[in-house]
Amino acid sequence: MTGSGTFEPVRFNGWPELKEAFLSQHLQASFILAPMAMALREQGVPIKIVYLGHRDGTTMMVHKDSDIHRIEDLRGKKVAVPNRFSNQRLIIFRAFKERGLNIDDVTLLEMPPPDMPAALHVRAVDAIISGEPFMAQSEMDGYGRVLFLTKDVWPEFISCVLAVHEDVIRDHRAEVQQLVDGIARSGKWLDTTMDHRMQAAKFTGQNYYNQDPKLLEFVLSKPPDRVKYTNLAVRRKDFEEIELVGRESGTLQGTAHFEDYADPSFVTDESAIQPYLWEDTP
Amino acid sequence: MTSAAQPTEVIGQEPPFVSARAIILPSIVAVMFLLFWDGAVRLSGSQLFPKPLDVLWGLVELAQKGLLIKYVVASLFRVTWGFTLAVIVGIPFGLLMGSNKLVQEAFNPLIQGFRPISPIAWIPVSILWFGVSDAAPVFLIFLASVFPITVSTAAAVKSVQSVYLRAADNFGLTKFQLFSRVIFPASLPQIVTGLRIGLGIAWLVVVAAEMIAVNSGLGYLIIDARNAGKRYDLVVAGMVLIGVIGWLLDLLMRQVERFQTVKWAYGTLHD
Amino acid sequence: MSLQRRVLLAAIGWLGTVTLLHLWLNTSAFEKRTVSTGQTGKQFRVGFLPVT
Repeated sequence: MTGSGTFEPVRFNGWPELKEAFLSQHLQASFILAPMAMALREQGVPIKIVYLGHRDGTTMMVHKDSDIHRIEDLRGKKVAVPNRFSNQRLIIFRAFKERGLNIDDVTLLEMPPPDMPAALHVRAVDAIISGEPFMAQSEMDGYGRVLFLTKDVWPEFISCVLAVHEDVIRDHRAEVQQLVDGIARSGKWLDTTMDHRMQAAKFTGQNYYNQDPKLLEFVLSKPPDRVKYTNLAVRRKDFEEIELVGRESGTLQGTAHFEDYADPSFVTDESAIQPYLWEDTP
Repeated sequence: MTSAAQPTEVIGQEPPFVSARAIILPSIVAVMFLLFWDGAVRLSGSQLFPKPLDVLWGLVELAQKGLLIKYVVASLFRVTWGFTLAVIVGIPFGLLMGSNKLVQEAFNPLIQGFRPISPIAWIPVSILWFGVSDAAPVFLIFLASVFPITVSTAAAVKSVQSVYLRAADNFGLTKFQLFSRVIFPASLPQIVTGLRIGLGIAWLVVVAAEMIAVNSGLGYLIIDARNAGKRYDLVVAGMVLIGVIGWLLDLLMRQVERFQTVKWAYGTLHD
Repeated sequence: MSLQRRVLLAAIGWLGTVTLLHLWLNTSAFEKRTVSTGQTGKQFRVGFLPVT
């Protein structure tokens, strides 16, 4: 392992608060919505995307008694999205466009993901879309039905990325490398066997997320490719696609490009990553 | 504040016991409220909203994990510091504003303009300035309580009866003596009332203040419980704790209020 | 002791108690400090939301 940084995870409860703390350099690095990182770069904030948080792991849920069975049925409905700069919002644009639908036919409203299951339960909205485990919550409790998993609509979907301030990359490259390696190796370890995923569900549920380990087990196993933690290197074509949809939907200006907002140099060869070896000590 | 008109009131004259009625009546209402709550949840068949007993078990769970004391202490810490800073800034400034017409005219519009801004609107600013430390919620609580304290202190000074001032003038007091011997004691009862209001607001704001990335406190408990999926029992437990502690804090302030007013009326008569 | 002083002392006592308790329970201020080993490592704060 290179570098000798110590990393302190800081949990936030909303994207705006996280963004503000990151902007003002109180956070050196942050997991952040991919289009939000790109938009910040467009606005002149010197940050770089160095790695991905995960792939897929987003679900759109409808109420089990709802008459929505296909994406086309969303016309005239109300859908809660996590943030205007979320890829969860962009995936709706992309899916609508592919099906020749007009995006104005659906009402999108911003809602913090933790509030979404309750909103769906009382049918304040017709559909909810966000990262897990909030979607699986409604499924596990029996009132939510999966409309689609991202892997079926936008394969290899990117929700959150790891962004770092440019001056931090310049002055503390070894530490950033250490952070990326740590994430990459844990991701590989997670995706090696289902048993690892179950161990992780228990560990993170209790120590970091304060969420029911059973819920996290559900997310990580039903189906196993609901969310993936491998193949997380920053690839040009993925981001150019987000850029395109972002521009079409008016979310992004299109003034920042891959060279501006991404630094793929921390992981150049995904296959060289060795999984962590914490068998019995999660 | 009528104590000035009752110079015969002395400490210990209040009945030493609380009447049985004062306990029984509110208890009946509280029990009826709990029964109504429980019945309403049962009738609606809601799986999300907790019943009173669920909330109690939630509290027990928090206590067993040692989180109850941690969160209560964290919130009290932030409120105490925010409020203390507000007192340190608000009272002197209020005294100055109340006694100096120029200062009053110059600053009053600015203060009145700041006063209606909700602390929630300040959250982005406080994160930009203070990041994710304890300073951010303390700053929000300070902002919420400093204006009411300043304004009520200024009002208290302005309402000091001119008869006291004329009397003081007759005794030939210096400016400092006038302030420390007459104006401050005379306005103290009203200042303490302002403090009580300020503390109430400070405590009210704790949930909003702890929405920032702190990892302890009763406000954090509520937000964290929302993250944790279906833990609305903990959300309500947080609400109950905030309510009960806020009530106790107010009772404490009332003691000070009674104390000081009596002291003032008493002191001026016998000094 | 005058009442004024008693109230002031009580307030300061409260402030001190709450502060110490908070530092003890909710921060690592009282944990045995790891002696600086001259590492140049940087303390990194990494933000995240509890979504996948």
